[in-house]
Amino acid sequence: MRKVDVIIVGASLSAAAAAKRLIDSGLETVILERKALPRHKICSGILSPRGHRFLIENFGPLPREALHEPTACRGVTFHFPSMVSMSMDFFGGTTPHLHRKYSDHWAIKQSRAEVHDETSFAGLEDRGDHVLVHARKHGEPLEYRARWVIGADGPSSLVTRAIYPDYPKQIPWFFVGQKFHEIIDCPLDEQYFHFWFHPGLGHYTWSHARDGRQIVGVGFKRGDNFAAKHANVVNYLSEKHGVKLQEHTDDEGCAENFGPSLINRYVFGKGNVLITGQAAGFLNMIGEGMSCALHSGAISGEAVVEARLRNRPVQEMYRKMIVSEVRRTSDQWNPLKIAFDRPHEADFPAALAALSWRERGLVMRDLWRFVVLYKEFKWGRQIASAALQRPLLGGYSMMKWL
Amino acid sequence: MFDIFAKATPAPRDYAACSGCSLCLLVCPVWRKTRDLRYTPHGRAKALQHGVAAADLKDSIDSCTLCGACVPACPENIDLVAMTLDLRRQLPPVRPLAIGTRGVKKIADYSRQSVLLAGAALREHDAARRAAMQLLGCAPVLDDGDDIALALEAGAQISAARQEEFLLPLRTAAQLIVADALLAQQLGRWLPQMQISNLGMALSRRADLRRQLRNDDLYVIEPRAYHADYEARVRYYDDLRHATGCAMNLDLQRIAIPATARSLSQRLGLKTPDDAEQTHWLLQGRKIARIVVEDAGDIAAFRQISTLPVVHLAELPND
Amino acid sequence: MNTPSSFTPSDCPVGPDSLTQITRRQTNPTRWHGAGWTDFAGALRAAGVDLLESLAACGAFATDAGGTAYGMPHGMVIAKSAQQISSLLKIAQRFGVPVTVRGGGLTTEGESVAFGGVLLDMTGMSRVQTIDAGALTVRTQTGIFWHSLAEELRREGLDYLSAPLNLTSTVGGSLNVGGIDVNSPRLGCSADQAIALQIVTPTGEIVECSETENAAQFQRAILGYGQFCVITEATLKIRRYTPVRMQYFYYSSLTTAVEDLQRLDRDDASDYSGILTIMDSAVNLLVAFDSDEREAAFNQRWKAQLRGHGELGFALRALPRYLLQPWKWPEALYLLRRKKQLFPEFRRPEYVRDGLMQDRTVVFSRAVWKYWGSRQMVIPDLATSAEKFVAAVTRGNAVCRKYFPHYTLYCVGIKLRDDHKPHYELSCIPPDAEGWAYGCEFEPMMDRVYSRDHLQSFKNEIYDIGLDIGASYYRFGGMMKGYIRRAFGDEMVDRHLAMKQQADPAMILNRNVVF
Repeated sequence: MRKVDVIIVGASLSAAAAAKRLIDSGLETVILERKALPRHKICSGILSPRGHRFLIENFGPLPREALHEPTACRGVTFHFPSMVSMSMDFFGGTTPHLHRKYSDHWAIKQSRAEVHDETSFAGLEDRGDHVLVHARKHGEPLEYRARWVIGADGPSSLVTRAIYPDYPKQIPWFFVGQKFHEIIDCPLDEQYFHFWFHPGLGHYTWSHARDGRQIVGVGFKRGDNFAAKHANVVNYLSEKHGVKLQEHTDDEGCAENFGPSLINRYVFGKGNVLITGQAAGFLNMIGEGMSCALHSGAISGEAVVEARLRNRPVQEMYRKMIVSEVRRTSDQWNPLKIAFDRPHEADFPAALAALSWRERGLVMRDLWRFVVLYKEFKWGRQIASAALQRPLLGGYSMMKWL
Repeated sequence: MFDIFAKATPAPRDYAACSGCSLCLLVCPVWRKTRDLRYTPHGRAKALQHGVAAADLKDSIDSCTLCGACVPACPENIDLVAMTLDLRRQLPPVRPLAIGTRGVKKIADYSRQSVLLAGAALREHDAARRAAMQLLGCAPVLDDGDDIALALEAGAQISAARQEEFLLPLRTAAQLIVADALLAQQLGRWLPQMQISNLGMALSRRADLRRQLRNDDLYVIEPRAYHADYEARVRYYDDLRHATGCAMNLDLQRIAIPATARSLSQRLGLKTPDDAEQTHWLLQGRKIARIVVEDAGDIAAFRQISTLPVVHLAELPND
Repeated sequence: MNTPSSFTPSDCPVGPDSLTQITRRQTNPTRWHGAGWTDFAGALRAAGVDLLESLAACGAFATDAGGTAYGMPHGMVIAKSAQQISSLLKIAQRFGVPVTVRGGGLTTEGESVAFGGVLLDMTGMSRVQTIDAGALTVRTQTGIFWHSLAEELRREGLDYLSAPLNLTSTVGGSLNVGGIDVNSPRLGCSADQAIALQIVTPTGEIVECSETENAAQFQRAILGYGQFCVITEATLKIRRYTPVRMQYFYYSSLTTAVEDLQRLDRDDASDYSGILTIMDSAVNLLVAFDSDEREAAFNQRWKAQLRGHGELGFALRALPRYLLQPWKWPEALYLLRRKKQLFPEFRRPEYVRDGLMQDRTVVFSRAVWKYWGSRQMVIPDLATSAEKFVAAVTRGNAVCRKYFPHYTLYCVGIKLRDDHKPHYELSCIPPDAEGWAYGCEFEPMMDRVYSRDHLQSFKNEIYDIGLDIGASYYRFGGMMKGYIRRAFGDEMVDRHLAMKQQADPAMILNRNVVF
């Protein structure tokens, strides 16, 4: 049985960030990855400036192979059913369009952590002074003995399930799928990530260019039919925006957890097991999870380092330190912050101000209709309470975290 | 609710609280000798934080002189002497110390008199010991617990029988005057009702002794007792210094510079002491005519490197 | 990346305008890969250099005073002699093993952290060699703490000229980065005290240098961030010891206090001056004097013109303001609490007798560690010309308020010497400063646990002000790597990079600090 200081589950960006902190402090760290590396990852790949800065500060300049074409994204364009569109540039210039297969692998290598790929996590037992981690490699059972475990294995986290078996039943699940189309004609500016606030299309509808093809993606409550939802979006783009596409050549999809950042219901783990990244519930408002994954991943690594040096419980350190990242992420969903501050990395209020009064009215009406789509989740009271906590307490209550 | 957790209970002031500032190096006699971070409280605390076991810090733990200079120097208020002693207790003994009963037949009765626990070093300078007893009006004592003092320093076990044998007669005394600071502190825990004073303080309070101190004297404070009660004593000795004009073994931080730098092995006689560099440093650049020590154990160290007269505080009136 | 040169924006394939406003470089370096370590270690030991690889030896060096950058050396060497360091550097050049030099470890951005490779602990070389009381100079090994140097000098009735108010900064560290004290408005930065050095170059030559002997190497060593040599010995100017006479003036306006400070500096009205604040609500201008004559002259000519008040005067003025603003009562309470903690510390009777402060460096430095120090010393700073200083402090103050409930500002002037201009080119000295530069440290109270990201974001925001107004940074160091090209331009940086590459072909010495 391999004995290590830390096991990280999942070879993602948050894992790379956590591993970087751990390795720098001299902790023996092993990353377990289910697939063979480099591995494919479903993602828009559009990183926010904050995430980009983190990558550069911690891993250096990005290699070319870690980027898709177009290599950079200028900002986000919002489209509304009233046919008003507003483009917003990211603060600080363009950001990279990551090729997750290679960017993640590159970051993992830069962290200098040891990776055991094709090794899937199969369960854990927290024994107080160590954690026994069960895994499987090519079907063969494997065991690791670690002082701490970090779950960085994405929205459908097996580590989260291992410590909170009921958790997946407590939150609403969405399906997010994207299809790749050869382009006949596409008037959408390829320098921007396009997003539709359209309740008739889906809970989350987007499109952008990648490597000469156009991605059309849609997210919706689990249970609906992907093919139908997607076809609906393609028709809408064709009719309203003149986007002419071939039949798709590839498609992919995965489960997503939108809610936790919105209602401050994060899951950070238990005992010697930490949950981080999107597994913990971090997601930006435009559905970008990479920047918060990097930062929360780093914080989980720091928490282990601090817990060891200060001889304190790791949960205590992690929860104290994660406060800053919770604030950053939940601020983006906070209506008061959106109305009176600039929590996002592009200037929505300025873009709104550039519209005519009539258009502003249409945008507000469309936004409201879009929000109503989420009514069934009954998040209203929780959002309002989180929004009020922020100015009164300077942050979001820790009592709601798991 | 928010943030209450962020400011949760203060962490204990042990090795884990060390922030690595190195302030203890500035006052550490072992650092002066080795210039090696491993042989300092900072080095030990950081090693422990990184999960190094006590057994792998054996030499460092042995090297500490327990002078306690690092305790008032530490901005994190860690009891660094307690940290070293705790580590010593975790290690097998450097030398087996037989702390068994001495089999004293007759239990002494001090009938409310003062008692001087002189310790081995002062016993060696018998004139000084007798002078001290006379000045302080102390009854003679058979068992001064020097073996216990050594055991405390070494982190060795003291049998309950020996402890009781030592304490039983002391309970009949009115006051204990103790030369050894570690023993004095332990007695304070064993006999919480007893009035316990440190020999240096008991003597230096006396007006007849103070009158003998001159402005060309170097007054050498016993560091362990001084640092264990730093806040009170720094004022006390500052006043003494200004009242008498004598120089003292204090550095710019008003922390006492020990005259010797002996590891546990050296104290136990397993290795030869090498105090010269430390004693030289204490005397460097000082224009003095006489050395007055609180701790009789310092006399030999000074005599080895200096021709200046060295006297114990108790001998001052007859000097 | 272990590429031994800094990358330029064109290396980044993302887009020419990527991160135009928040340009960053890799500030948490990737751990050195360790190739050839075993052979290197063997060669080192064969040359008689003691290499320690245990966790007990290396663990203490995992981070610096800043506490945000961590890195474990593969092994560490305790400095013993110039000869030993020469052997180490020669072998390290041959094997391409990075060597990171550490003094007191008081860097804040990981400059003295080894991200793999060898950590050279200079405190092993910390002995005073000769004190010349006649010529008022001292020759010392540079791993010595300034405070230890003071202990030795004071036995002879002497003192150093100036040093950072921090007991564990080393002579070598200050010579490499500058170092400021409250007498810097008169005496310049601490590095200006050096008149001759013994250095070991990255290729292992031992060179004696001064303004007259090997002048180019001398000038590159001083304020050189350890890029061009390891400074092993230094001859420093010293002076006769004097206790100081302190006076404090309290302001509620930062701007007014800064204006008064600059006025005093211009007129040479005091021997020591500086500003220490409790947030921006209680601003303390301190002045001090080495002699009664200087103090008398100040009392006669300048004192009445200062717009600050005594403690009582300040309290009487603050009271009605706080009475009218009940939402600011927590702040007032904090001020009172802080006063109760700090003031007795500055007036301890064993240090202050008959109105004279006996050991100012001890009093201030001990307070620094006790009330500002912690595991993470977060003290970003800005150094500007006198004209830009108020703007810099005001903007920095706003950033402090945004990130932390409580903080302190520490402002001091630094006298510049024209003859030292060559030393200053790529340094903490702002290029447009004439006569004096002004530095402000922004020091949050670390009274709770923060993520490193929170602290780094705060620091970046302070540093960004510097870029915006054309300032420099006193503790440039690791941040230097992230800001250097924007602060100084490619031409100057490339010129220095070329010099560095020539002096240190394998780019082994203090690799991740500047380039």
